[in-house]
Amino acid sequence: YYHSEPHSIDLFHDKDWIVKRPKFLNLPKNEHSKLDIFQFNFNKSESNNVYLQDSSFKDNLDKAMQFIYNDKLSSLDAKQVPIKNLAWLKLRDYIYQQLKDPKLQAKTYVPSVSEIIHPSSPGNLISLLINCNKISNLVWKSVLKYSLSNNITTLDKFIHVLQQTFDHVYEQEILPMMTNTDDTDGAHNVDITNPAEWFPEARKIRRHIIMHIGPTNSGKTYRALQKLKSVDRGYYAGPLRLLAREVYDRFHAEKIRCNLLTGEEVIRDLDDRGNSAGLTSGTVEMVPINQKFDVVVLDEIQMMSDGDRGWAWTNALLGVVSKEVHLCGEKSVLPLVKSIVKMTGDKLTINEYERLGKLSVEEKPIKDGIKGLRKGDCVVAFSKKKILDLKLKIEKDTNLKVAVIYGSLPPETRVQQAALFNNGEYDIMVASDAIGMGLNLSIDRVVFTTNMKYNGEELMEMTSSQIKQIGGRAGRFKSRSASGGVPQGFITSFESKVLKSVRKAIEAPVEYLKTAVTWPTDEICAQLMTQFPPGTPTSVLLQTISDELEKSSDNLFTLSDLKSKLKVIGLFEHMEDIPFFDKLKLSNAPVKDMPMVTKAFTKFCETIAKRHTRGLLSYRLPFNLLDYNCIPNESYSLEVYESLYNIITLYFWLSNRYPNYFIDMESAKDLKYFCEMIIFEKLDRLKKNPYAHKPFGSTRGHLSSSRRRLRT
Amino acid sequence: VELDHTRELDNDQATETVVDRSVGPEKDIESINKDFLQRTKGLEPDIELKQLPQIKQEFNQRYKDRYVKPSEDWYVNSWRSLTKPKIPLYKLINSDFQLITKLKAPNPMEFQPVQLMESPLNVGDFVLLKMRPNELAMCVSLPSSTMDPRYTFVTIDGTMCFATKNRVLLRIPHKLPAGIHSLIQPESHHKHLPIGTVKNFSNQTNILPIVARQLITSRYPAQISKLAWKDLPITTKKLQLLHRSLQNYMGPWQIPFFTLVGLVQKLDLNKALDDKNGINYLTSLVNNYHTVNDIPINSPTFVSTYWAIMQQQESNLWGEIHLNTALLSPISVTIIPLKSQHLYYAQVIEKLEANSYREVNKFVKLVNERKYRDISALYPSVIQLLKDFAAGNFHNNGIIVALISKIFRKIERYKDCDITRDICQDLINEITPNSIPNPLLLNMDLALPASSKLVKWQQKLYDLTNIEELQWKKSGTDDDRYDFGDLRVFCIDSETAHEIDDGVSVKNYGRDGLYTLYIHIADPTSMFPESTNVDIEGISTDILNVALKRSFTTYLPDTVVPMLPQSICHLSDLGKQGQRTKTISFSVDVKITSKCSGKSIEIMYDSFKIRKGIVSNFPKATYEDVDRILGTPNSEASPVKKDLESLSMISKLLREQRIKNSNAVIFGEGFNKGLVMLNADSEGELTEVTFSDQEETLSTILVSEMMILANTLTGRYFAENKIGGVFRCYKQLPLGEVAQQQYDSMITSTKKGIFPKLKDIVKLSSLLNSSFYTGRPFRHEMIGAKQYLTVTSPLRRFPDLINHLQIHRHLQKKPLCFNQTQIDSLIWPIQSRADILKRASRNSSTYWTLNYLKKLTKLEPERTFDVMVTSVPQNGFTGCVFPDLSFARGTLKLHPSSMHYPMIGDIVKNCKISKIDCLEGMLELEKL
Repeated sequence: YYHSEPHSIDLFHDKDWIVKRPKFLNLPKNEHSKLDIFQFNFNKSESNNVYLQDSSFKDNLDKAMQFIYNDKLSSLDAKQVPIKNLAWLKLRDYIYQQLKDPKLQAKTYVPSVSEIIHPSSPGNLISLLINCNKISNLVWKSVLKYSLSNNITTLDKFIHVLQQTFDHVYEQEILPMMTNTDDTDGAHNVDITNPAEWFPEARKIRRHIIMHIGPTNSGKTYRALQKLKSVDRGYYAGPLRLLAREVYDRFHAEKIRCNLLTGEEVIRDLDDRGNSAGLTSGTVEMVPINQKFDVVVLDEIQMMSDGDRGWAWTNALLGVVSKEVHLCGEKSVLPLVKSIVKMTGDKLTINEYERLGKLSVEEKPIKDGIKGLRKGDCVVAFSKKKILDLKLKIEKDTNLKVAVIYGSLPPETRVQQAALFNNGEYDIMVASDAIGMGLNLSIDRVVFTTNMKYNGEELMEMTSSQIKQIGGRAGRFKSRSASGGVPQGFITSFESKVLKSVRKAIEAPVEYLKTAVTWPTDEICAQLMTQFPPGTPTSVLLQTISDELEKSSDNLFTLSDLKSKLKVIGLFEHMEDIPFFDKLKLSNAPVKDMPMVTKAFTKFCETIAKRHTRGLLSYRLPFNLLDYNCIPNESYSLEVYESLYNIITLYFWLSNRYPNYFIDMESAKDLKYFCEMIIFEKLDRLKKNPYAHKPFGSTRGHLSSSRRRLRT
Repeated sequence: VELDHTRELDNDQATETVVDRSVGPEKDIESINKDFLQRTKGLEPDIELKQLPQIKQEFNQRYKDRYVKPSEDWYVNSWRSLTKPKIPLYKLINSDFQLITKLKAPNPMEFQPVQLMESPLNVGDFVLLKMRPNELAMCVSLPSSTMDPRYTFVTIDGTMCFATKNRVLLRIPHKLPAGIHSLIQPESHHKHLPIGTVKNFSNQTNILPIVARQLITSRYPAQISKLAWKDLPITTKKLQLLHRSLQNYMGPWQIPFFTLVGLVQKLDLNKALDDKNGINYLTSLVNNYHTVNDIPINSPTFVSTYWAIMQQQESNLWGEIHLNTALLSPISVTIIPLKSQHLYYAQVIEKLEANSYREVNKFVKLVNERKYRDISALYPSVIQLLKDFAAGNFHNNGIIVALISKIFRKIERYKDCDITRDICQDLINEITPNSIPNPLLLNMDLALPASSKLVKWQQKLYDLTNIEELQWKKSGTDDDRYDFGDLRVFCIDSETAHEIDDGVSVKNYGRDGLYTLYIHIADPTSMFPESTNVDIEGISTDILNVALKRSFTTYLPDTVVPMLPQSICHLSDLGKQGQRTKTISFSVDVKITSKCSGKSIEIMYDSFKIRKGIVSNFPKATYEDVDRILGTPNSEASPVKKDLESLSMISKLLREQRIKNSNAVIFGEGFNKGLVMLNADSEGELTEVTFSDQEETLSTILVSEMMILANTLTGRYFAENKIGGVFRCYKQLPLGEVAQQQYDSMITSTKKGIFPKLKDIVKLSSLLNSSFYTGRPFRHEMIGAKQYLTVTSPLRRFPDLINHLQIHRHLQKKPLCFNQTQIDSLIWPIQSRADILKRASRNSSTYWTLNYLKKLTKLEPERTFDVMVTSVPQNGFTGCVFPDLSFARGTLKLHPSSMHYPMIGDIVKNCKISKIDCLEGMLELEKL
């Protein structure tokens, strides 16, 4: 019923859809382009009208028109000229129309006082002019603000009426019809160069931004947390849920009430009246932007430049409504923070911290390769295959026991592997750059296997900042330095070529970050969505935003990488019953690009669309793999369990957002533990690296595709 | 085929194996488990390794206890109706059952606005809430008690939230299918962790059974939201187009919200964008906009219009969306002029932002150097921007906030300040020291002549009003008036009254306790042709049209703007001794009976008369005079004193009767304290604040009871004679059981003569509704009248003017001036204006009250205050009010660590003001 028929004008693509040129049906053709005509010209056949018959009327009207022309159309703002010209023509058109109208009942017309004060019906203009003397001069004097002694002429009255009528025609009729509000509509001007404007509530207060900078292992986060503990309302925003959990646990150990808010896990700390604790530890993506805080801590602020997740830091820095915002991070981010703070007008204080221990790059690479490793070493490699190969090789060639950490390991597994290494049960850590953030590791020496890293498309030399962050892990807390003095950290490699390049990177001056990654808020996306035709897919909107904003992008801000978002959106965007805001929410779901995972996610999304209520076990998923018998069976690969693990993680993520659709965390937790157990066992039993050969006997047939994603 | 989701879905593949105790060559299950648990020790507590069959079995048990059982219980016990759909129990959850086909419940996809008047907020209604403006929620439970007067709402996905009714932005009326007793239930005991939502006590959770959500609470909201969202792009375009036809370049004005929704519904974009006839189509659609009033409102369009306007507020196309607190619905929206606001600010913003805020920097430099004259000359647009911001003329406008923040962050002496309307005013005062003392008077919705060309023009018309001319235009005779001769008419008013439109008389027959009461009301409508000329339907006179736009006399602490031209007021005023003055006079006989238990009164309805009258004997009587005369026992019983004593006695009996027989509510002591009065300072500006308490005396009771009597009787008269008129009505809110008992006990104690005090009012206030104007003869439950039709203030209330015009025609036995449809469509602008003025008056009073407190705390920074708590704590804040200053309302910050939270009505001592913004009316306190 509403807008089913197609429109002749394309509302959403024709930029001028709203602009309507006025029509001049009564104006002689030759006057359409010529403006400075004040008289009115008629054919002989039209001689029967007041203008031709009454010479004083004609005289007054002509003079008044000339006056209006001079008064209204000269010396103007250039933009307004064409529209004022049209108003002038329209006024003349009205006059022609009435003068030509044989049915014009001018004589019997009685003007009202209100029409004299404010003539606003151009359709009655001539009648009003003819009868303007029917209104008492007392009224006229008051209207024209003439003092009593002044004589009011008919021309004065004509000028008043025509001036007001012109204004009316111009402002009430022509200007609105000729104005393209799309141009002046704020919604059309989402400006990437000015994301500070997306957060007006934060702009209302002058925040004190306190920057704690220092290398890894300098205790900067500790200082910020001390401050957080002392206030009533605050938020710790960590880069990983693991770290959020760590802070949460730490606060609870100190008997400080605190909530946990991460994508996968939410714990509300309620008192007996149902009121939440004032402090919350959570991931940076979950910071409530419009809630008032006393202190917000943003950890690892240099992540602002991260292509995938940087928007969360940038938007939190720009948007949190907190009198104090503590930023912890590396020196490389300092100029960026300075620029942003300049933009927001907040107050900035910088606290610099020194590294707690010494860090040095060894003169020579390790002799004898793997055999030269010693307890406390952390070997760094950048593919899962390489990591797993190394673990096997080290354990085979030496008596050293090896713990591993890489990106796709479940966070809990990472914690455990770290613990095994830290307490000395295991000797060596083989890890990816996942160690760069957060986890406390007691590493004496970081051993780089390479200085190259796969960036998703090609093998690239690592930046000095990346090398510094990884290398900086050496000599971290309770380092078992033999001397007993200042804890020392060492960096080395197996190859002298790599070592040379690592040394260069470590000694290089700080590489300052240049851009912060950002992404418009859901509200802004929603506002933009209304500029598209109904039914436009969400992905089209995001792509367009991205393209549009990229065009106007300046040096300070760039846009979040769309690729992964679009892939996720592709899984549900055809589902009409998922509301738009939920689609934006879901586009951030941690869906790994594995067929089993995407299939399960699609099922989950269907549940949202139908508003059903399900437990994880009510889905058709291969939970039968969670069986002890599968442990020794090599046809069920580690990857299958990683997929299953990701599905369970996704379920937690969704359950936090839709607790009434995705229920029973208990069974999901039980499944997760069992899945983890199998992953641990499989890791322990690794006889050969499952990624070394093309896998055999896979029943799910998804491993081949995952070979393309061998980065960790 | 829809599967039962509790069934295992993948059993065909899962082979139930007897687990081999040895897993692989070197390990058995026990050692695997041991290894795993060892490693996780201390990291994750309570880890237990369970095998799939056990996990499944436990899941099924929990699922049954937590979800299936409550759903079955609800379906069987809480929905008792023969017409409810027959669903097999095992299919209750996730059944996708099509409810619509089976139930004869009214379809809420469409509604008539009058339904909002008929039923106050109730379970089943759909709402948008302040904290979740982007999604519809359903009201699922009523306020349970005065301890926690919050309603319970659930969103489409089943999230439960609690909010008082003043958080509702928009409401779509909807009745639940028959037989549903409740939706929310306390979570019953089971051996698992509870899954429900905590409301007041952490050990008590509430749940909405899944089946209730899927069948009842989420279906329509989801459907309406989906369509509204889908419509939004088109609605946005339609509003853009409608705006340019509706806007008045002379100044902002309000369009009734439902009219706008009607226009959006009716507008055919194909026709409107047609190159040839588009403009004509649009013009005629808009010019006839009042005719769209009687079409039903499409719920999705209603919602999408609301959303679209919220968005377009940022580009200054629309101003505030005015909310009516009785209907809990938007009632009107301000249309902002295209050129003088929308285009103007688009240009100002562009200019100020250009070249990395070059102009802002220049302006700031001048401010830092205090070169005020240069600023006034060079940056009038920035001054205007600040003025509009201070006056509250921007709504939902992040761009403007960001820009103003940009300016202040660069000014040395302001850069640490929060961006408030107050600091904008502070800066304006620096630059132009003689600016207006109360910037709220420049608010565009208030529409005083200072802020709008349109209003200036209307004022000019008033100033030029020529009475003779008016009367000359009026046809018909005036010789049918009843002359009351020298009947004493008491026009009891304060010394400073602006217009006197009522007077009372009494005749005591000295026998049988019989009296006749007269209420004489000024008769301004007799001056207008509408009162006699049967050719006129509705309003045609320019002056009455302007009066309709004003709708009421504006009373602010700062100023009074009469609804009608001064000349008309002067001519109609009662109270000029000896001057034969025209009235509409209402009279009725009452009979007083004395019994041992006291006196009682009987109103002889059959004697009620409405007459056009003439009165001329006005003994001087202010409130003080009357109270003095009534309070002097031994003076001689003059006829004046006798009259007043009779009237006072009768008025007390009238009130008693209202309370006893009609459940009327009368507020007692402590209410309306700290009313703001302004006095001139040394320069003659009204800036000195004093506070006074509204007190009830014999004279105020006398006047108010007589007026209530006249309005009540006329209401009844209109209803019985089927005369269309503007009624005033109050509907008691549906409440939860305990809350209802608490309300009833307040009524009971009122009947015993114990009127609710401030503490009681604060507790009850969320349970009280607001009254509203309506074209239907609904009850006024607060006053205790079956119908209530105001006629006693035609000089200051437009509804009374309308009712007077109807009376004139009725008395002449001529066709009425307004038919029902016209009355119904006049209700919206009048109600909107009433809401705007009520809010403006409150805002001004708040402004002056907070200004007083701000000065006070500046002088005594350590000063503390005692406040009364007005709401349940949320996010660590609670509402509060100063007991002696009604307009000092704010929020009190609570310490999360404090174990004891104050209850509503409690006094919290020693609070310090931590934040104050007088113009915004924002006050924040902290307990020391």
